[in-house]
Amino acid sequence: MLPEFDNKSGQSQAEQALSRVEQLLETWREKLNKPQPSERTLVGGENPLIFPYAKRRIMLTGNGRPDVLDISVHPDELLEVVQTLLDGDWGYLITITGLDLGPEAGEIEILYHFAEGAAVVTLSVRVERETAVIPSICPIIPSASFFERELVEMLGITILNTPNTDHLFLPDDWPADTYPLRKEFNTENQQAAN
Amino acid sequence: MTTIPMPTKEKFIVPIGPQHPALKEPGHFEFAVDGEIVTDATVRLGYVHRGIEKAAEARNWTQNLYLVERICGICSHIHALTYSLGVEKLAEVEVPRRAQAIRVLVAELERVHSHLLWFGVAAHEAGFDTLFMYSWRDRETIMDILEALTGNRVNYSANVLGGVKFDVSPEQCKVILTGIDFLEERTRHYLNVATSDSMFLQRTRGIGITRLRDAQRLGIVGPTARASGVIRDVRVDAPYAAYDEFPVQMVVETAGDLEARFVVRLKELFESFRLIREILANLPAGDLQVKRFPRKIKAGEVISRVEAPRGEVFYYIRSTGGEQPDRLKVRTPTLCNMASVLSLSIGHHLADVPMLLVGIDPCFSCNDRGVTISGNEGNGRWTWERLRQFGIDYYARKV
Repeated sequence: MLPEFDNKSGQSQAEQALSRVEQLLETWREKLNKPQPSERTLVGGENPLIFPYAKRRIMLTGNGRPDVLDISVHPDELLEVVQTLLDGDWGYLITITGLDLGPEAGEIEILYHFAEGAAVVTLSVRVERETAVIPSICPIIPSASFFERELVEMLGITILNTPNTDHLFLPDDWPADTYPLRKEFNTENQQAAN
Repeated sequence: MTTIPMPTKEKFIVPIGPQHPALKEPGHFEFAVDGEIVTDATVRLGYVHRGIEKAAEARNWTQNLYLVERICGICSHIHALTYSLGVEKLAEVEVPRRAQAIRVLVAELERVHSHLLWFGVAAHEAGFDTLFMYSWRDRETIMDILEALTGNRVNYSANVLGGVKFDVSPEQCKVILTGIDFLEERTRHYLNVATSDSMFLQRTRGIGITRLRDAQRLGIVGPTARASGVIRDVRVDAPYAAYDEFPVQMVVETAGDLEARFVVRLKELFESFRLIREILANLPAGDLQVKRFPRKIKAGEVISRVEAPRGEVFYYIRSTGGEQPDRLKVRTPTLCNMASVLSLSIGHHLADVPMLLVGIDPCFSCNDRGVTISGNEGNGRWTWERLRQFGIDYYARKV
C-alpha cells in the first residue's frame, strides 16, 4: 500500500527534511570534533541557520517558501559530510555543478546538490583554481562517476580516486589542458586554433 | 555433454553504436559477453555534444531561452520552462497565473506526445511494429494539437521570459478536448495490450528488474524510478508553475521490470489527460505576460527543478548582475538513468539490451548538449555568424 500524496503538506515535509539535515550534520560535527570551517563570503548570503557556515544562498523555483540550505565544506571534510547524509538516508545526489569563479577570484567552486522532496541541500567546496584537487565521492555514491568525469573534462579538476577519467562528452582528440568551461576558454579563439 | 568454460582472460566485446544503437540517436556501447550473456558494459556519449552550457555564457538572457529550447527536440518546452522559471525567480518577476496554467497545459501535452513516441519506439524494439505504427499514428493527434496551439510541431516556443506567447481560444479548447478523448480511449487499449499480449510480455515481464534499493542507489529519476517504487515526482514533491493549483496524482509501480515501466508511463497519460481537461475548464483569468522584463538581472543563484517526461530536469543558473548568465548548468534525466542501463544489462541476454536501453526512454541530445554541421560548401565547422546568415537566407528563399 502506497502512502497518500498531499500537495498541501509539501511545505512542512521540506521543513522537516531540512531540520533533519541540521541534526545529521550536528552529529557529524560532534563526531569529528574538529573546529568548524571558517565562514566565507558568499554571494547574497543571509539568514544563518544553526550553523554559522550554512546559508540560504541559492534560490529555488517552485511555489512556496525557499527550502534550501547551502553549506560550505572544506575539501578534506567532504567525504565525511556526504557519508553522514547517506547514513542518515537523506535525499539523493541530483548532480555536481562546477563553477569557475574567474581568474580574479582564483577559485573554482564545486556544488553537490542533494534533494529530498522539495528541500535541496547544496554542499559547496572551494579549491584553488591552479591546483583544483578534490576527493572523489564515488566510493560512497557510485553513480557520481558521470558527474565527476564532466568536472574533469570541462573544468580540469583533479579528482582523487575517481574510477574513470576518460572523456564523456568531448571528442577523443580534444586538445589536452583545454577546458571549455573555464572562463578563459572562448569559442572564437578555439575555432581559430583549429 | 559438458559445457566448456570460456577462456577467462579474453573477453568478447560487442560494440553497439554509435550509429543507431537501438534507436535513432547516437551513443556508443561496448558489451562484453560470455556466450549470450552480458558480463560488462561501458558507454561513450558526446556524439551530439554542442557546447550549449558554454554557448549560454555568451548570449543574453532572452537569446538563451531559444538556445535551451533546442537542447532536446522531444521535451523542448520543458527546457524553456525550467530556464524561464529560474530566470524569473532571479529577476523577482511574478508571472501571471494564466500564463503559468498555459505553461503547464503545454507541458502536459508534451508529456503525452513524448510518452506515445516512447511507447512506439519501445514496441518497435520489442519487434511489435504494428503497435509502433498504431501508436505513432495516434500520436499525430497530439502533434496537430501542438501545432494548432503554438504554430510548431517541435520547439514550440511557448515561453517568453515573464509569461507565454499565446492564449488558448475556445475553438482550440474544443479541438484539444476532442483529441484528448480519442487518445484516452486509445491509451486504454494500449495499456490492455502492454499488460495482456503474451508475446509482448515475454519481452517485458520480469526483464531488467531494478529493485527499490538499487534505484535509489543509482539515483534513477522519472518514470523509470517510479516503476521501481521510488516515490519521486517534482510535480508533486515541489510543485512549480501552476502545479499547486492543478495537483498531480503520482503513478508508482513496484515490480521494477520493463512491464512496470510501460504501465507507469501509460498510466501517467491518463493523469495528463485529466490535468489537461481540468486546466481547460478552469483556466485562470489574467494577462499572458508581464509588462516589462529587465534586460539586466541582479546577481544571484537559482536552482530550477522540473519533471520532464523522462524525469527530473535540473538547472543551476548564476547571474553576476549582467545581461548574460555567468553559468548555466543543465542536468537531464537520461544522464542519471544511463548508469542503470549499464549495471542492469550485466547478467541479461544481449538480445534484451535494446529493450533495457529503451526502457529508460533515453534522450542523447539532452544528454550531450554539445555544433558541427555538414554543409555543401567549405569545411564542416560553421561560425555562429555563418549559421545565422544561413538561417536568414534559408527562410528568405522559402518565402
